[in-house]
Amino acid sequence: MTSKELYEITVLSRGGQGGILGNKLLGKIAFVDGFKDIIAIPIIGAERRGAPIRAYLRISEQKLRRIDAVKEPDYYLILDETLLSYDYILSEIKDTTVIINTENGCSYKFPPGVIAYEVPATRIAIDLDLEVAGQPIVNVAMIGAFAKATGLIKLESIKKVVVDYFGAKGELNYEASAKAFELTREVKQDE
Amino acid sequence: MTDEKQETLIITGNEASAWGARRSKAHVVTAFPITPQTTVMETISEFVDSGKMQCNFVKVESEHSVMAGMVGASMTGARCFTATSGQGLLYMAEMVHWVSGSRLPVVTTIASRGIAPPWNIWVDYSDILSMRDSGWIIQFASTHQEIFDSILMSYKLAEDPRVMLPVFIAYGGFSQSHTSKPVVIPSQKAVDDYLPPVPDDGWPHLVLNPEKPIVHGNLLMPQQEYMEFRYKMHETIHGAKPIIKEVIADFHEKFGRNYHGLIESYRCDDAKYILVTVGALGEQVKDAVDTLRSEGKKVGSIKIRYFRPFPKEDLVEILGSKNLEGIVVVDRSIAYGSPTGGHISSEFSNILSELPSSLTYLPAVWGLGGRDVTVGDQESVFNDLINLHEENEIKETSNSYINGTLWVNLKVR
Amino acid sequence: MNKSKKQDLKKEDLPSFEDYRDLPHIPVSIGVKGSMGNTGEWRTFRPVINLSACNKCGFCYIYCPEGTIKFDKETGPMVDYIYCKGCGVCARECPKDAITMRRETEQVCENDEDD
Repeated sequence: MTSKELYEITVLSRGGQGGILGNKLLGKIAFVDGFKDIIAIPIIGAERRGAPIRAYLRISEQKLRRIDAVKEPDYYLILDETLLSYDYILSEIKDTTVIINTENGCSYKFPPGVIAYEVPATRIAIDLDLEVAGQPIVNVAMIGAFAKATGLIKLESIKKVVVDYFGAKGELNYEASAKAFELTREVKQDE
Repeated sequence: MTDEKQETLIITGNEASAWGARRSKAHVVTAFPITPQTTVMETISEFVDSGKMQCNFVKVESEHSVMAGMVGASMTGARCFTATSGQGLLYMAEMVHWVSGSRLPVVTTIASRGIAPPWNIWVDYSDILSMRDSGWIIQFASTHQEIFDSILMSYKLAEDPRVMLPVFIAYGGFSQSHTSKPVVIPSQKAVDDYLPPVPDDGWPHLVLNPEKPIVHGNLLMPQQEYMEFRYKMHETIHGAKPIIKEVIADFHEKFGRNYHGLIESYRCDDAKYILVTVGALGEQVKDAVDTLRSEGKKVGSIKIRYFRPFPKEDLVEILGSKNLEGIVVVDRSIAYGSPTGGHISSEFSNILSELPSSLTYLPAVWGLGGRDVTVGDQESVFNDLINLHEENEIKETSNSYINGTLWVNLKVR
Repeated sequence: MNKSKKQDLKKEDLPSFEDYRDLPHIPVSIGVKGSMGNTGEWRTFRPVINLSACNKCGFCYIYCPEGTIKFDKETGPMVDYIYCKGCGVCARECPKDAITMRRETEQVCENDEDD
């Protein structure tokens, strides 16, 4: 683990995928894991199902005073590969680490300096029947991928928080995150 | 989460507000949904449904009825709580005055949002500041913890026989209401030890009792004491200043968290330039102060916690320092047609006569309707102030200096 | 004006305040009869009920905005002239025109005056 005091994360998702909840849960997990302060900042509108949604997270070893939007995140957690088809999203990704939900290899190219991790979170959710209203829920699986890619949080902390939060469905969610932890891999970007 | 021991929860500002009502053991909560306040009422209804909070949770048909319900319930001597936002607050405006005019110790949290039209649901204090002259004590909570703690302190303050006035606690819609942070929730016993139950026989001045009917809300003729009752409220709200400090000191002693007073100053001791604002941006600006200090600029900040009563004496005490060269007062609200464009900066002009005349005074407005205000934006406001003081003009800035007021990031060709 | 009646409430019985600091937090009235004083003094016209024309429908009793008409099913309505302000609503609403408004200055000597 590095000695950085502040980590900033941007979670990109589509309305209904659980991106905002996943962002908050990731904050809880980081707090349980011993970070001193966190702030989860969802950017909320109205009637947004399917729309691109973003949420920001700061996790810190110091008391946090900021409430402004994260502009240059250390990590992007991308719950849906198709979000990269928007130029304004793809173009903001530079000098950062991306953790992306994709099954057959991400078809979008990032500029040099971007470290990319891939995880088939939708496949994991479908295989585990982890669905809400017909939509595979990938947020907790993506948290497992985050744990693997960053080393900032522990799998057992994920378990503690999701079981506490989801009750009966907690074990299944944890299983998804553990599976994602196992399947997350770094992909070399073509120079 | 149990009631027996203290725990730190990762919760939203709205959940912190609901926890404040629960730990204060509010007897009556009247509810009507409005974004971004709605999750306060949703959380309280879950507490009530699961038996964790004993209160009369009354669903009514409008915000006007929400506050009317508070009037009726509080008159029986009950501890009363509600929450609203933006248009909802405007709709209940008439009953807001009935609560204060009846001297009822109701506590209400406001998840502030921009006023429509055009529709806007994001942080903007124009809603709460439209209640400026309603006779309520108006407080801004700048952190999630402060939202929770302020509810406990506000009941203590409001129910003090020397005060008997209602309290608004305002915080940012979405920027605080929907963001999540760690909040320490003390055990029920710790809160009970701090905040005693309401008197058995009702408030000192008024209690509804079917055995002893009274007429309240009487008509007072011009020659009668209407004017005296009004002056008495004005005197009381000013007189609440030392009581607010008592309540804060007592809270500090019991819970270890210090809210300083009616204002909180940061690195002001030797500051040449001070930024004054309210709410969560008053907390965030400390980061900007630290950055500028590391560049050798002597800056500081003041967070106004209580807008009513206006903390004139406390501000003069700090701003009267002979080191000081410039002050910028920044509003996140708009007061159309006022001298400066902002509520607080307009009001602030009143104390300038008590400060050295060499001071540069810059009113500013930022972040209306939830527009993001970054730490960088806050640094730019300090730099504009320094620029204005040293060069008598503001150069190379992304902000607009129009008719004496700085409009942060205003789109101007 | 008929001043022979003893007043129920004297001026000195009402609280008076010379200093705002002596005021309570809010004004309330205790619900006592005549808390606004002897409002019967305000009349310029008085309602006079002709009981022989009255059908005892009770409209006057219901319509009186100040509750100064008493009603008994056997004997019919009776006006309390200490508090009746003389607004005339009862006379207007009476379906039998059994109530007439008479000037206070007019000597009323008919036997239908009941106070």
